[in-house]
Amino acid sequence: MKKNIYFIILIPLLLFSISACNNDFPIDEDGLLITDRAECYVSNFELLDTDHQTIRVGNSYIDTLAQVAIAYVRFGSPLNKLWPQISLCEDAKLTPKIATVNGWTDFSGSKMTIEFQAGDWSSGNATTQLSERIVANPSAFPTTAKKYTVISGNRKIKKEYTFLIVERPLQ
Amino acid sequence: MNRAYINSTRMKKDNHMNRRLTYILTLLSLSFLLGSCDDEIVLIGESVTKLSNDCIKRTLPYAPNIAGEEIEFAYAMALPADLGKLTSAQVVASIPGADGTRFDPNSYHTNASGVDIPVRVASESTTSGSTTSIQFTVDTCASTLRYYYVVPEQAKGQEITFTFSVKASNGQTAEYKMGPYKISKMDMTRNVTLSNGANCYLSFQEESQAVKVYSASEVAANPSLVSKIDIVYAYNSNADLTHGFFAAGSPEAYRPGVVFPSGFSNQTKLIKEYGLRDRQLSNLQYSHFIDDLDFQELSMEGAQNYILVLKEEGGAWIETGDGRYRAFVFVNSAPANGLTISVKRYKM
Repeated sequence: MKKNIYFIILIPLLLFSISACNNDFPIDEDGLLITDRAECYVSNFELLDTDHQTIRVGNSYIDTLAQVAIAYVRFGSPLNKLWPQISLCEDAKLTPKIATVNGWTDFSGSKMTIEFQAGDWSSGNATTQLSERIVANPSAFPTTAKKYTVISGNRKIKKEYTFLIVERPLQ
Repeated sequence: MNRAYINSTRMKKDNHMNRRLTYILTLLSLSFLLGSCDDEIVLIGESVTKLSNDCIKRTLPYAPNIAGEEIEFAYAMALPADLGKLTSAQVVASIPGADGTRFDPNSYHTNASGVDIPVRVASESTTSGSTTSIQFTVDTCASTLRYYYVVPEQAKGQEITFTFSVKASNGQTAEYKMGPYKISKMDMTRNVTLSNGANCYLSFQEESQAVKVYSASEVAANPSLVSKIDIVYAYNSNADLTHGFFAAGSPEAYRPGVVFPSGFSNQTKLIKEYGLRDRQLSNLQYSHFIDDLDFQELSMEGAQNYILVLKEEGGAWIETGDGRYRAFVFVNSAPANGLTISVKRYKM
């Protein structure tokens, strides 16, 4: 009986340790695991001012097909010294990197000027109508707009996103 | 049968009692024996045979010492009662203190609820030059006095030391040295109120005053003040603007209705902050301190010429257009139409 219990405990332990050894994913040049995930997209885009508070109003609009991320910001927000936070899908990484210390970045080149139409804004937040109109016309994107590339977990897929900032009208 | 049983239990009980009594007695005698050995009182350390003293700085050690502010010490002195009593105490500061430098004539003890209870032991202290002295008026052989040193303007950027000393009726004296303490180069002005359209012109260039607020009527009456204005404060009821600071050259679109006084040209640099809660600026809340070093190492890179949406507990780093002064403005409160601010300023 006692022997049986030992076997019952020992065998799964052995199996676990074997499988653990086999799970060794290779590591890339940044010391990050190269996994087998092929997803490659931006999931959120946040901008912090020098006071470490967000300047965004409403949610950022991200079009993963057109590879565009738009942040709508408060009227009068200065854009030359912002700390961007870009959320990615699992295991993906960003290039160029945003520094973890002193990650201040000049985003003034990403500012998009567009004629607003009726229905573009609803109680201070941008509507999908506005977001879709911006994305539909890539030729109007500022040439100086910030671009970051997302690299998938398996490091085989790379997608370059354009990051735009739209200042809301005075609220 | 029944009686026999009762008898036997009684006997057992008596046996028990006897044994317990013996135990208690033995223990008691043992403890008396031990106690008798401890009869002599042993002094820890050497006995005090002369006047002795001690001192602590009660002001937080890492708080910057700013001109106009107090540094507080507690000076303790005592001698054995049969040797005499305390007669006088004095402090010599290496730089004479400003008005208000004094000894508190009370000695304090703390009651059961933790409240300091004063007991008057001396006459009012007198300060002449760098020496502050006090005469004891009661027959006491032990006392702790509090000494308040008001940092003078001329001590800025220097180090300061204190020599405490005490005299007893038997002629003995004792001395205790404290310091050196670094005196900050900063100026500090607290709880200044700004109001939209009236007290709205801020200057950081005034000598020994961290911030000077000029009102609209003062500037209208004396246009030469315009060159001293570094920032214009304005309030707008729009949620995107609210409380704003504006330097010359700030975009007109972001300051609707704000008219600069003619000739206003100071290119002041501003960096918005939030949650940098200095203890001295926030009227002794929180536990952070902005010190000289912060101003020295501050990078004004990416600074703006305007700030919008200032909130309570927010603030701004400021550098005057000529780069001679840097300041930190802390917002104490931000009701509609006005601000209460406290400022630390550093001359570069």
